[in-house]
Amino acid sequence: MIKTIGQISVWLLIGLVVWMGVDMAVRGASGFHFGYLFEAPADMGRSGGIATILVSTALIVTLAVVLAVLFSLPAAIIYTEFQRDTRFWRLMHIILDIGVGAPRIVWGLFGGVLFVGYFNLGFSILSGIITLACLLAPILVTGFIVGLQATDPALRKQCVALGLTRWSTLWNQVLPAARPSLIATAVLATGRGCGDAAALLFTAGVATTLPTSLYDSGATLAVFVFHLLTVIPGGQTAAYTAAAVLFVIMLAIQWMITAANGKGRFAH
Amino acid sequence: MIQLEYQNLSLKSDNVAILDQINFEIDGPGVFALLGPSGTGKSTLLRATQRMIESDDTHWQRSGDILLNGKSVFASSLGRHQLARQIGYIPQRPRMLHGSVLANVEFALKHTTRLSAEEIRTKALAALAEVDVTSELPTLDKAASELSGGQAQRVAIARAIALNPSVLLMDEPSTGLDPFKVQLLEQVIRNTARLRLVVLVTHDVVLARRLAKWVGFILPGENGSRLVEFGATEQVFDRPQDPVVKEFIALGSGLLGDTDNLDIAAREMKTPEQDTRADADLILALP
Ligand SMILES: Nc1ncnc2c1ncn2[C@@H]1O[C@H](COP(=O)(O)OP(=O)(O)OP(=O)(O)O)[C@@H](O)[C@H]1O
Ligand SMILES: [Mg+2]
Repeated sequence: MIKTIGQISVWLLIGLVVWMGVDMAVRGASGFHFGYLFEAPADMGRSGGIATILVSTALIVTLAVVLAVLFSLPAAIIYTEFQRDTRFWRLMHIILDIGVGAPRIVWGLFGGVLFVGYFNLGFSILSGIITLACLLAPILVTGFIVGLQATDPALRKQCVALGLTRWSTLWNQVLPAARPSLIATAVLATGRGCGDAAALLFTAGVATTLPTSLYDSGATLAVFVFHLLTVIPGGQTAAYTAAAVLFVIMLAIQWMITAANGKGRFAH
Repeated sequence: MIQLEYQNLSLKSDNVAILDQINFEIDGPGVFALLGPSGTGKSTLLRATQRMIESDDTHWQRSGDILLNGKSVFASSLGRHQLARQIGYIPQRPRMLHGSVLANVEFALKHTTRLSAEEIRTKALAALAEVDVTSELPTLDKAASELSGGQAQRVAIARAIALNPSVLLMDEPSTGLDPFKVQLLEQVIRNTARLRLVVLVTHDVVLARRLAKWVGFILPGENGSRLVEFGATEQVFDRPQDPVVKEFIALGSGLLGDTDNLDIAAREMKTPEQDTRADADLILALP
């Protein structure tokens, strides 16, 4: 009985994903043309390419991930090195869980009010970067902590037995041992950043022009798709094409994570 | 002169007593062999000597002290890494670090001394040659994680002796070594102990007898393991006071038959609470 349900479910799942993929490819292809990736959008995005959007996306996501890693990695290191079962660290746990669990739209609202409004950064790539970094930081910290804690405790003890200091142990042995998982976490965060629209819609804005400074507004690919679908009349076809590109990018990132993790996520 | 002194050292882990009032003093250079049944706390004693059971592991309770040249190894003014530079420790299951065999030996030298890269290379190569790893491997650039058990064991020994500590704690270093390599190990320990104090935990009674200047036996007791026998090697091996130690030595030297071997193996499975002394007499009384 369970076996039958399981088999049906597996086939349904396969069918669904294949259908979605084919639908994306077919409808997306209708708007795809030679030079699509190298032309600026025209007619409010309904025609032309997505070159400027790709630039904004790369700029926002890369800088946001870098900024978030800059804060998250030291935080995760402090956590794994000094963590004790104290009230402070239990509170830290709860805070992290809230950070990871908070809906993206909440981060979007937060960033929109704080950075765009209060700090007066306006709808700008800078506002987008900071907001996205805030959203990614808890995800990164959690992932980094898991990666660091997964390293063999015997490795640390061995280094201490050889007379190494805590920091030199960390820097020379623990971090290299944890590197694949740290990289996978960063790539995962990059994927989240690329796919996110909610946090950026009200911070980085929806401009489709080529950004010339961090104070310009610039739409990422996901925001562009969202904007085409919801605001621009007759933008559906163009939305499909852009979404197909986004889909391919996300798949590529997914595969990078799988490759970084070695054999893949599923145990055989 | 190197002096290592255990003053009424008792250790508990989560209120389970492991060591009970360990009290002895050794003056190096030379080899001190520590023997005793499995699970009695020999490794724990070594770890305590290098302070590996403190601060980080809050579940340990200690009373008493360990003094190196008159100074407590637990002194808060002494950093753990500073202590480890005086007291080397080769764990029972050494862990290979990342990188090549050569890097494994050079790593700690690089980070704990001010030697030049050349001097470090010379020392590392000498240490690896001494444990006979060099001749066995096509290249010392081989990843340390790919070594055989016995090779890794010897790389760990090379890694520790290259650092030239004044006290070296070795936890069953002959594990996984063939008879030739045990012979080699004996030579390495002899060389090391010329100027240093070596604390050797081993189950190899014959090896201990040949190498050690002093011998100690620990056996399980009611409040954790106690040092039941301690003294110059000849004295302990020739005239052991404790009946269990007597049997341990006889068995380890191959003086008792196979059936008796089985007997002691079965008895070692018992918990420390059971009175092992009583039935040891019984077995010894058998023809
Ligand atoms: N980290 C630890 N935490 C709690 N208990 C421990 C720990 N390490 C060892 N023990 C306990 O301490 C006792 C002594 O262990 P230890 O490893 O020192 O024995 P040993 O004499 O070295 O034995 P063997 O000859 O088998 O190596 C054992 O009962 C063990 O379960
Ligand atoms: Mg042991």
